[in-house]
Amino acid sequence: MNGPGPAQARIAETVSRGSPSKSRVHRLPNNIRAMIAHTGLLGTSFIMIYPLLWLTASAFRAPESIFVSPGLWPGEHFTLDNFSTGWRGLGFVDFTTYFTNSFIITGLSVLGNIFSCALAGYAFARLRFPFRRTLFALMLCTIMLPLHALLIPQYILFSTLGWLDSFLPLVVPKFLATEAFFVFLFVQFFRAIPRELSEAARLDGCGHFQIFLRIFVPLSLPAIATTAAFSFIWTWNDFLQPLIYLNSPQNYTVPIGLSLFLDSTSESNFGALFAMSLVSLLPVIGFFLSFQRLLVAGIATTGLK
Amino acid sequence: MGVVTAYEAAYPEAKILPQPTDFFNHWDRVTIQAAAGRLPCVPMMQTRYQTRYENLGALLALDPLIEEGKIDVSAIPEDVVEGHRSADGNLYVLPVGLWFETFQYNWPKLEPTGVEEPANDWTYERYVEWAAQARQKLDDDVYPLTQLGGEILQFQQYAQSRGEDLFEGSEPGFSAETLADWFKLWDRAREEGLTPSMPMSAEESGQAVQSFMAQGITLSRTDGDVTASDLQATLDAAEGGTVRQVKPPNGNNPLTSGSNSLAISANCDNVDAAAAFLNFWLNDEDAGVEMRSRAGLTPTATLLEAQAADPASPSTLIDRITMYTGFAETYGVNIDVWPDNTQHMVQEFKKLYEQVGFEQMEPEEAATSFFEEVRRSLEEVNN
Repeated sequence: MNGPGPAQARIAETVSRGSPSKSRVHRLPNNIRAMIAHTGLLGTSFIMIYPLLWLTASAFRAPESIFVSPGLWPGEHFTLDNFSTGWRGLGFVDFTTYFTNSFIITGLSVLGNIFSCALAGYAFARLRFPFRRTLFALMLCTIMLPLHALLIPQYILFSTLGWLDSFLPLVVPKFLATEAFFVFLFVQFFRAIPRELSEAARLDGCGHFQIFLRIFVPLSLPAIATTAAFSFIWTWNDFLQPLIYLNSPQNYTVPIGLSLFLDSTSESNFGALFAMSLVSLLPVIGFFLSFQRLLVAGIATTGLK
Repeated sequence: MGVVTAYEAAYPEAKILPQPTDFFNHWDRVTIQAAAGRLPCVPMMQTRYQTRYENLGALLALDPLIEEGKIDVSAIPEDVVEGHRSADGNLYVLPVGLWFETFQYNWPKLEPTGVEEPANDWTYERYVEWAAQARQKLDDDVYPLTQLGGEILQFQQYAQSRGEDLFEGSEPGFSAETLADWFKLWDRAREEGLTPSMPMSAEESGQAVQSFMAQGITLSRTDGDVTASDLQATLDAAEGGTVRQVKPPNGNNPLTSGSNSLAISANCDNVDAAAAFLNFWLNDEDAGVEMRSRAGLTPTATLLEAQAADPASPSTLIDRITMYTGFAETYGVNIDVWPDNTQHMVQEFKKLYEQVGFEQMEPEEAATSFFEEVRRSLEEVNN
């Protein structure tokens, strides 16, 4: 059989090397493709972060100039007054009180959720008791109940207990494993812990509480961090429940304090609002950054999205 | 809060526990409190919301307290007091802050066009003609009118100029034909370039300081009288002009006014103290000074005069008092109390007009749909 002719050989050579234009595309992409990708990502990131940048810039602008220009540079309108005006609040209570209240409620809620939801999670994951599956399903169903459906009965309950205008309605339920999402998260995590560990501990004479405390808790740091982070962010940003249960300005949290700056029937102080909004973001960002690694690990290991 | 402080200073033995919050969140809180029968003794009400709480039986009738002299309403014009009376014949609320809509325009932008200034007795048809004249003289990127086709309060002015209203007792107070004409009027204005395009208008913020007029995109807009000073401050920062205001376009009809008001809750266990506080708010001069707030003008004639004469009063407040008293003397005042279950119509109206403006619905179809919605909502309450 004859070998390939010259034309076929050229074709074969071209195919084996790739076409000249295709080979240029292959050489360039390493640089250009990366550049295009990064430019695109940077552009998208800027669009995503622009509202936050605008909020930051507006916090440093004189109130009357905030809506004059969409730009980010305050220029001649630069001022720090928004922070001092904002911190003083509306005269009756300042933001020291709002921040203190928010930290107390959030701190207790985080502790309560971690403690009670981990215990409930352990019970569902490892204990055998009648109607366990039914109760677990019922608990999961509560995730689907909208908060608004429960608000009035809960309000009447807490009012009857004399808990209105105190932190109790916001904090006590957190110690009773009422956050089904976190219970589910712990159940998922605990199910992945080998049974041999708890069986070995049992042989060494540990009871359930000791197994939970000495084996499960140390192994569950990612789940605890996830619960802590979500619990912190949700409680810190919660508006409706503090609004309903807290009546005195001395008990208000940061989100309610912020809302007082904005009123459709009265004067709105946007400069102070943006300045205090910026300050109120700092604890959330700080908390998230501190626990970021554990949070990601927690989400990955529990299969939550 | 200033009135609370003044009251506690006047009566050191009294202690008021205020529950301040912003307007919309106030209603979330009050709704739950009322449903649980645990309203505060003196809840803040408003003409567009009060009927729900009156119908729920959450408020105390104030007539006996007025008859006993515990609350003095003699300095409030009778038609203003009576305008707040419920359909069941009882008076449950008393106004502490009156507000009204105005038509606002940028005078330095209008003046060079040579087109006449708007007048108090104009109607929306007249405004569209005015805008067509101004259109020819204004820069291409400045629109004479803000798109108001989706504003139910402005439709109310239009309906009034045709002898109708939003509500007539427990029935819609307007005809579907009038509403279709309103939608067509704004369609025409948009097509003739008198308003920004629909995609632009759909993006406009409701806040005066972010409005197109504040940005110099439109020559005029409508809003509550309290917003003009915010708008002016923004225009000042941008060297963008001066706001002037006239009566909203309902022709020669009375000025439509709403009010922020106070009531006494049915579950209040200290009615006398609540009545004393309400009376203080309405009649005490110190309280009147504190009510220089922008939540509304005090309805008490003597306090209003004192505020107008006080050199410490801001000029914007004096302008509002002058405007209100002028409108009241010339045209009269109509207190606009909305029936229950009608609040959602504000957004419903806006959405329907957007469908018309984006040519997804014919004006007649949208008008009939809204008319039926109003009728249904009112029927639900009456049943």
